[in-house]
Amino acid sequence: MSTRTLESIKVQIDEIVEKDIVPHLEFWEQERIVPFHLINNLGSKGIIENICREPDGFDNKLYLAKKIGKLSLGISSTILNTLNIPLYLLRNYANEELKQKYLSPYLQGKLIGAVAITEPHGGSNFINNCETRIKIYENHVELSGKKHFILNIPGADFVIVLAKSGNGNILSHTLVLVPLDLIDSNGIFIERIQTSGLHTAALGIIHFNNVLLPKEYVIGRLHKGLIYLENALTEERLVGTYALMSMTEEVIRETYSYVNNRPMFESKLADLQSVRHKLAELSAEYEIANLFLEDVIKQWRAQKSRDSSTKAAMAKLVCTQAALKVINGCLQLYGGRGFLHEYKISRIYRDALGSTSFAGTLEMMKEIISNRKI
Amino acid sequence: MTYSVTHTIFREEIKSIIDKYIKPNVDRWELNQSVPRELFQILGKENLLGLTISRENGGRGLDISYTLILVEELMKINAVGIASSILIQLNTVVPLLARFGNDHIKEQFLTPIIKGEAIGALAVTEPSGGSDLLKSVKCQAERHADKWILNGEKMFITNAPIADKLVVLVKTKNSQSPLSMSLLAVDTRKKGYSVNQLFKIGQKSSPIGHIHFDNYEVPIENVIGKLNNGYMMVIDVLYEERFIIGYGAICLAKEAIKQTINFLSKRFYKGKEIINYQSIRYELAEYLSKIEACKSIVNAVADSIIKGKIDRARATIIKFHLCEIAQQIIQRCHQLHGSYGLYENSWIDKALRDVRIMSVYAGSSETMKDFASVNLIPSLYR
Ligand SMILES: Cc1cc2nc3c(=O)[nH]c(=O)nc-3n(C[C@H](O)[C@H](O)[C@H](O)COP(=O)(O)OP(=O)(O)OC[C@H]3O[C@@H](n4cnc5c(N)ncnc54)[C@H](O)[C@@H]3O)c2cc1C
Ligand SMILES: Cc1cc2nc3c(=O)[nH]c(=O)nc-3n(C[C@H](O)[C@H](O)[C@H](O)COP(=O)(O)OP(=O)(O)OC[C@H]3O[C@@H](n4cnc5c(N)ncnc54)[C@H](O)[C@@H]3O)c2cc1C
Repeated sequence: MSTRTLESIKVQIDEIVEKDIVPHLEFWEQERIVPFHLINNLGSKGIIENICREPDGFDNKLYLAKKIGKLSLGISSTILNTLNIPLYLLRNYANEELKQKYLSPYLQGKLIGAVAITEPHGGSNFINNCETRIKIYENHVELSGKKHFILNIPGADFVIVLAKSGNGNILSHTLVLVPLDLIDSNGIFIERIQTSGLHTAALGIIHFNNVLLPKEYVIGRLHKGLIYLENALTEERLVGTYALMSMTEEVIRETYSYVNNRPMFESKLADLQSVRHKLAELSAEYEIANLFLEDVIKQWRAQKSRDSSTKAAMAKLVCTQAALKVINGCLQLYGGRGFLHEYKISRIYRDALGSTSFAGTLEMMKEIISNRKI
Repeated sequence: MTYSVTHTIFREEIKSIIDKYIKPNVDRWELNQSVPRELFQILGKENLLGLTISRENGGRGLDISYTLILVEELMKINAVGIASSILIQLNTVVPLLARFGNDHIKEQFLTPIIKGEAIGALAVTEPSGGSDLLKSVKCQAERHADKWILNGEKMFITNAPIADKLVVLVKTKNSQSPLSMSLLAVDTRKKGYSVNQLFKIGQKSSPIGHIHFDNYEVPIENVIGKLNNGYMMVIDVLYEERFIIGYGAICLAKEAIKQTINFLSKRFYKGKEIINYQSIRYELAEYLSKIEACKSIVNAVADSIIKGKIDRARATIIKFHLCEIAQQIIQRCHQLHGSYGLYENSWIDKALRDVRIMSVYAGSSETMKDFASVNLIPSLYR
């Protein structure tokens, strides 16, 4: 693709950010509105289609993550969740019929998807303890169970559900697409969770009571669900962490500006050595983590290897810890103001605390790393 | 410090009051973003608002160890905001009025506050900053015949939105010396006074406010203690308040660990309770040891208060260090709740938002280190 189109996608993204997001952001955050319509805006400008197209698509997705991540972790969760796993699964594994029905409008931003893996009794445990079951019949499948803490629920038009289809551990999970347009009539029930932070994202619980679906709604082959998810989860970790690091950088930038402007009588906060040293230390934490993330992303894109997915787990661990430390440390420098709603840092602090366990907790990252490396 | 049977009896008394009046309301007050007036009325009726004040002054004449019990019991029910609203009175407003107030002040301010008929607040911090009071206090009282005329602002003042009586630190002399400020006892209900509530992300049940005084008239006899000695008196009572806050923080952390143990005993990974994984057990064991260690320094400082002279160096260490330890522990406990930590107002969500403020109010960690590192802490090793 020529550099011109590449540039123009970034320009389009900038435009959406400046015109469609920035002016409304505070209102949405305050009123806890999830701006699903942004997906439509992205789609109608060809951005969703573009991010699927290599060689530049992934770059543009990262650019989007960076631009939106630094504004709101709630909105970036909503958008990136839509553009990551559901889209990946549809593109790579759905049959032609599903693609016709769902992928084409998805690329135009006319549909919103969700992916449901986690269950109420333990999300870290989804391989061994998946209680959502799918029974396979000749022409249809039957789904029963409950999924917990699912992004874009309520709001999504369909959800791709991981369900147990066999008795073993590895080749015994199947992914199935469940349309959500007929909610009441077909045994599906949804609740929204009131979350502390991430107020511009929807997180919910979804119940399936003997839901009947045509067999064509199975994604890819039976029993292969976990394999399909593996790469998708790695990518979700990388892109989500990229957005978090963008927010972290923004927090550092704003805090530098705060300490340089908050007057301390004849001097300013930044004149205090301990304030300068603190910010230097936090900047160092950020730099180390962020450059590591960028390297890992490069390696992942080039190889999609097991080693690079292990590094992705490392990057998520290191970056999340750095981000929390930086955001917490910057909050402190605001004194009492850091807790007031009028100051953006109070929202970012709550959002960041909430985002540590998406796509696997820090302990699960350690499990992945230690199982493979030690 | 040793606990006696009277402590046990007191604890039982406190527990039953908390169970009856406070525990059932914690969520509602949090949602309302304020404790109600009735809280103080009830505590006043039970004579809990003047714990360490002499009986002649209407208090109970107990020592600081009883305040520690009260704090511990409030932390057990995760009522940090409520505790802040109560403690600011118990540890600063009431002792200042009782120790330094004249008879008029005792009658008009101390008595109604101890009885729970009026709500008190301590107004020190200003918009220009709370850390360096010598420089930041601009709020001014000028003497006009038989009155003080007050002008200026106070910010972040706990209980201000519901307070009837304030202890206000004001400039009474045009200099930057520590002897240029006074404490005034101020009624809030007159012309020239206004307050608006500030809304925050933690300790929601303790309302804070931004106060404006506009040519506000205060009777001449409302000076607490010696004129121009206000700063010294405030600094003095703040040591106790800070010490209590540090203790509250680790009590909350201990409770958070209990919650985490409970939670992880019911969660499974590969067929085994998560609590039984080694990494979790080791980590929590480390935290429990830290908390036990913290209790010794708390007891040592409590002893010093009981003997009549607070160990200022260690009281300051308790404020910044224990609050930071507690914050780190609770943040990890929050992470160990996985997605359940994100439920708004869940136990661990509330505890984390609430504990975070403890490292800032009543003197931020940095300010504590800044001034204690010059003389106070080194003096321990001379
Ligand atoms: C912002 C956000 C968005 C999300 N979106 C989605 C979504 O769209 N779809 C979806 O399916 N899920 C989603 N999740 C859920 C997420 O995947 C789970 O929260 C996560 O997998 C953890 O599961 P859990 O919350 O049930 O914690 P649990 O599994 O109950 O774990 C509790 C704690 O124990 C720790 N732990 C578990 N096992 C061990 C062990 N062996 N050793 C040591 N520690 C251990 C965990 O790290 C965690 O800290 C989202 C979560 C967040 C925060
Ligand atoms: C919930 C809440 C309740 C409160 N209740 C009361 C109350 O009842 N009465 C009252 O009078 N006040 C109250 N306060 C105010 C509180 O005491 C101040 O917020 C606190 O002292 C910090 O002051 P500041 O917010 O103005 O921060 P600033 O003074 O603006 O400080 C900003 C940052 O700079 C750091 N800093 C400042 N000086 C130094 C230094 N010399 N070296 C290194 N770092 C430094 C601080 O630690 C902080 O991180 C309350 C605050 C809160 C949040």
